[in-house]
Amino acid sequence: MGRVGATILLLFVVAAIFAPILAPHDPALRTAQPFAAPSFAHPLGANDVGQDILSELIFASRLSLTVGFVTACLATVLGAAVGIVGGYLRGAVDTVLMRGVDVILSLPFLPLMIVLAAFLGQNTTNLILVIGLLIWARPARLIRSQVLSVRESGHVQAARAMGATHGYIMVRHVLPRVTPLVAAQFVRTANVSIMLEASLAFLGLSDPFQKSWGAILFYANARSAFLTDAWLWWVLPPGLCIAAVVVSFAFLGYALEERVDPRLRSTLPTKEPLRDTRTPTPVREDALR
Amino acid sequence: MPRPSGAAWRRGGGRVAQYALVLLVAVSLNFAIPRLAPGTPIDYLVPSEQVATITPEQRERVLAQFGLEKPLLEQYRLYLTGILRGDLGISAQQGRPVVDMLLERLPWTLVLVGGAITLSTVIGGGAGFLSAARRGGRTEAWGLALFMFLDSMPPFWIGLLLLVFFSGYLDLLPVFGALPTSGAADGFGLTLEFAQRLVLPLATLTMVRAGWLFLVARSSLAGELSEDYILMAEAKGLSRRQVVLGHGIRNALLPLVTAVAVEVGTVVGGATVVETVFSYPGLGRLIYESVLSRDYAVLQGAFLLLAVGVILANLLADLLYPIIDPRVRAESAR
Amino acid sequence: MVRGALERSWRPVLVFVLGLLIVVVSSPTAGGAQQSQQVERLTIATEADKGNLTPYSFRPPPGIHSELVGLVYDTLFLHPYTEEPIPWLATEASANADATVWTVTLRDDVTWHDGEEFTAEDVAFTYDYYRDGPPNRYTHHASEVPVVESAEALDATTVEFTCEQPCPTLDLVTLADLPILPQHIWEDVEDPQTYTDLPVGTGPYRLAEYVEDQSYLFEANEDYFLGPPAVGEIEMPIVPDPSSMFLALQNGQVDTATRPVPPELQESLGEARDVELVEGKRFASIFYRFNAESPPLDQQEFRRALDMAVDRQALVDTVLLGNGRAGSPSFMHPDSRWFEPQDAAFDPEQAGAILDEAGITDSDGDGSREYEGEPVSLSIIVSANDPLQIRTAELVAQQLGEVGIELVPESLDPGTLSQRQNALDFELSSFQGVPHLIGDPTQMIESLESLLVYSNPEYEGLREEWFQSTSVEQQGETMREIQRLFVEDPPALTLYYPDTTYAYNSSAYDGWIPVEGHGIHHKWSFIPEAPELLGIETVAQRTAPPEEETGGRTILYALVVAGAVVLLVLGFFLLRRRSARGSDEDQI
Repeated sequence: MGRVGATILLLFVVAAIFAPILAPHDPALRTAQPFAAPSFAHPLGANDVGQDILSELIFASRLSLTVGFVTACLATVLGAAVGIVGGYLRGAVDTVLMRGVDVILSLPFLPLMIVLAAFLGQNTTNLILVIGLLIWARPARLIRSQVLSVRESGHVQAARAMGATHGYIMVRHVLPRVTPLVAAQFVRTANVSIMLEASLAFLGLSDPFQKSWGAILFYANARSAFLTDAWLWWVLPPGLCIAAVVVSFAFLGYALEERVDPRLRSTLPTKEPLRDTRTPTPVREDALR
Repeated sequence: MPRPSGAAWRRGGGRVAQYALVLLVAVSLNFAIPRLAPGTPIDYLVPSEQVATITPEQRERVLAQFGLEKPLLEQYRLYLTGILRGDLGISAQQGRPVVDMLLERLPWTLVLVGGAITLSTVIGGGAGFLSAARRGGRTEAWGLALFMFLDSMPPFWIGLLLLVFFSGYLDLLPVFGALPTSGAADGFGLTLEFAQRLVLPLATLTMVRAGWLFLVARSSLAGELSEDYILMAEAKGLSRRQVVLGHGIRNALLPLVTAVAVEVGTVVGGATVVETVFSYPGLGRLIYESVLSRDYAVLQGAFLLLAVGVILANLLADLLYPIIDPRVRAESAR
Repeated sequence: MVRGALERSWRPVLVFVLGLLIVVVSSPTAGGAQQSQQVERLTIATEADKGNLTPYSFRPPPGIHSELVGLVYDTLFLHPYTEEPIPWLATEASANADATVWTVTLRDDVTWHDGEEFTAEDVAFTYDYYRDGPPNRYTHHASEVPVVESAEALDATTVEFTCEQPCPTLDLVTLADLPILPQHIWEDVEDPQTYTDLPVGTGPYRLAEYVEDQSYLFEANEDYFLGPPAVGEIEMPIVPDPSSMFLALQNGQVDTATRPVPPELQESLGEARDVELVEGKRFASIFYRFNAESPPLDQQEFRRALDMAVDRQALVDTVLLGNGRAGSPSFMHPDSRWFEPQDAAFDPEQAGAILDEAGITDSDGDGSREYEGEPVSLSIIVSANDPLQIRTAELVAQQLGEVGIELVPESLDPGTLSQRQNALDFELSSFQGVPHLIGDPTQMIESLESLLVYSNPEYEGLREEWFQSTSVEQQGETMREIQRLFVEDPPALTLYYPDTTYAYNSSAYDGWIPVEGHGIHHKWSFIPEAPELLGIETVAQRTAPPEEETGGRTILYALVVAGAVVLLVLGFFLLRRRSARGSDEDQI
């Protein structure tokens, strides 16, 4: 599964990088009749002003991928840090951090984005900044909740009893244990931010002069593509692209999960006790030493 | 389970106090944020052709109707005291008390959002647990792929496609609204009409939210099932089912409960797009319109409502933690 | 015996059939000018919530507001874009020699929705209220252009208006646009913007229910002074999403939509069962406002060059798919009676020459001109909600780029856009010309100052002339001269006039009439006498040629007669056979 995800993602990344070569036309130029149906020269037809949709699609991958990846990194790093520190140390630190998380989570996200889009102006950098600064709150909370459990588990208790420092425990014991969840959150965040960018673009709140899949759908909807045959070549492809990228992120995340924690491998038969076929993880070795 | 001691009650009170502080901060933010955006209700209330002709006195009068001519600090004070009184001000769009507007919209949103959360938790969470308990089967892989795919489709895209297919092509369901405009039917008939209009938005919202809950449930239970105590339980001779249901799921609930609590907070905002596509009269759409019209009072009120909801949900989740997972001792909750 | 009975039953049958023929033949001919059928309920989808429909419940575009207000309220004359004033609440109006004092006679058979009598006091009160109170879309008629110094009720049915300066178009424009408010309700209203009760007017419909952001429900006013309207109940659900709106029309959930049908949908929508399209003649335009204080826009030659560098026809062909007309410097809408026809000259070479002469040249050969050492770069702000405007801005930017002027489009959310427009914080701004702005000369004169901030010495002189004109002809002539001045010094860049095509379900209702400046969704589509008063045909009258109707009737007759004949013949033979058999049996 991971291979499938990685392959798809790689395809899109390659398409994004080599867009000028791959795209049959320059998407900023009007090379066809408006609303042209698919033809040999324009396999996905043309949009409402006559720009080639396939070329638009290819170039749009740049923005969507960038937004997704950057915000996911930002959010996951911040979120994991806050979640682990707060969940492990507990006490006042945890309280302050979690109340901060609560405050952020209590703000309705999309409306807040709308306000901020109005205030900051509609350009991509602001978009990334704003999404990234708000989206770490959810992963933080989830990771923290798992850290609460991990903290009480056997090997962590053992390490504490043996006098390991907090920092050591957090990095060598807690982090590996929560990595599956962190990986899942990375995937989730990338998905959410790509989706968020698409929704904002669809509502007309991101920069309409930049090509993104959401923006393509914005024009498609505004120019009635859902009601005519154009939905086939103007609406399906961008939506499928978004879905494909997001799914491939998800598959990749899933594969990462497996690699980090072999107990989650689905190739194992379920009936037999897992102990026999499991290979000891580094964490276990440390704990036994 | 130990009975809550006097200390526990005090701790509980401390927790409530913390949440009250969070609420205060959130409320203050809700006051500040709408005012960040440039523009005032005047730009919205008066046609552009006439704006230049307004005299300063008239401008003051218009703003005074909504208490906006006072200095910012004074407005803030009035806002806070107003909340305590239950008065959320007057809407600039509607000229009506904000409380009335919110109370009108709330039931629609609750039904849509509540229904979506419930369905997606049951379907997504249930499927997730099932998938974790039966790892290695082909159905599991397909189920995983299916949910992941559902999770990855943009809500407005699905919504519009569903709309075009069911309402347009098949002509099965009405295109917009929550109730028929003329109150012809009543009682059961009305409920049926409402149900018809609810189907598509509910389906859309459920589909897009279920995937994540599936993944959380799955990863959480999978992690739990590989813990030692599970092996112990199996070694003691408990059947797989008893182990999974009795022990595994109980402990894996924590992240799922958290996830659902978080869902409650974000789903109303996320439903905005779905509400717009289906012309459904919910809170999300009200917020969207109020942002565009700089209707501070409504924004403050709606944000406040959502903040209270989220905080309550989180409070509930926090209180449930010790019950679900006894290992999380209450004393370390400080 | 049997035979006798059968013979006797012949006659009633014959009589019956003959009677049927007579009835059919003598039934009144339905062909000709039948306005519309009486309809119990109509569903009209509208795109935006416009409040509780008092004159003060303005909301920004899109959506129709004044036509909905017009369902509930009436004006003194029919509407402000007619050739001659058509009496409505007023029966006649006459002015003094210099058109500063008008005497208007009102109808005496009008009542408010709550039963109170409509009198001249209401009219006098309304004009004072608009003049002295907070602004709305109509108040400029009493407070600016013209300034109605006083409105006095001389008796129950006579009002005397005194204008500060000659107001020759008072009956044609002013009195035809202002909705009359009931004094007994509004005299206690301090803040009109917070008036949230349902409106009370004299109009053909009562607003029975208003659910914010969801729907309106109008009920017919049976006591309307022109008789009960043709539709008993109108429900208007609010559907913001355009796709949903037209989908609902296609599958019959609504009977018509107030949103104009977009160019790309006209073909497929027109093919849907029972859906017809009609050009609504609503005044619409898109223009770019200048900020004439921001260099180099403060130079008249520069503005003129911009005007000449834009290929308006290309915009119409690409963005509107041909469904519209290229803009003209005249600013008024081409269908308005005040319009002075002149073509916008599209001449990029000439534009370049003008710029060269003005010293705005491309000195470093990089393709873009410089002004005072800086490359010329203008920004244009457009609404993020309006993809047509975004596309238009992109195209205009390309066109201006070819004469060396850089145009950078910026999209803003509607609230920010309004704020920046009102604060004059822009260089160019996209603007939607509402019907009133481009159809009503008084509004245009007012807007030239307040909205467009137009300053031109020749215009000042013409403006004075306009205000001193004492007759409609004089004002018309001055208006034409002003528009000719616009070629040299345009107040704004009018890009195009989009067509306003509307779709309706012809089997639900076909009494729609397109009224210039208003579209088809207004009260006159529901008032049986209106088409005649306005001299406009309903869509039903247009699409049904008379010959076809008579043809239909003839066929009907022929069928009935033929049928009757066949019956008679059949009956004859049957009876004969039976009696034959009967006689056989008898014989046996």
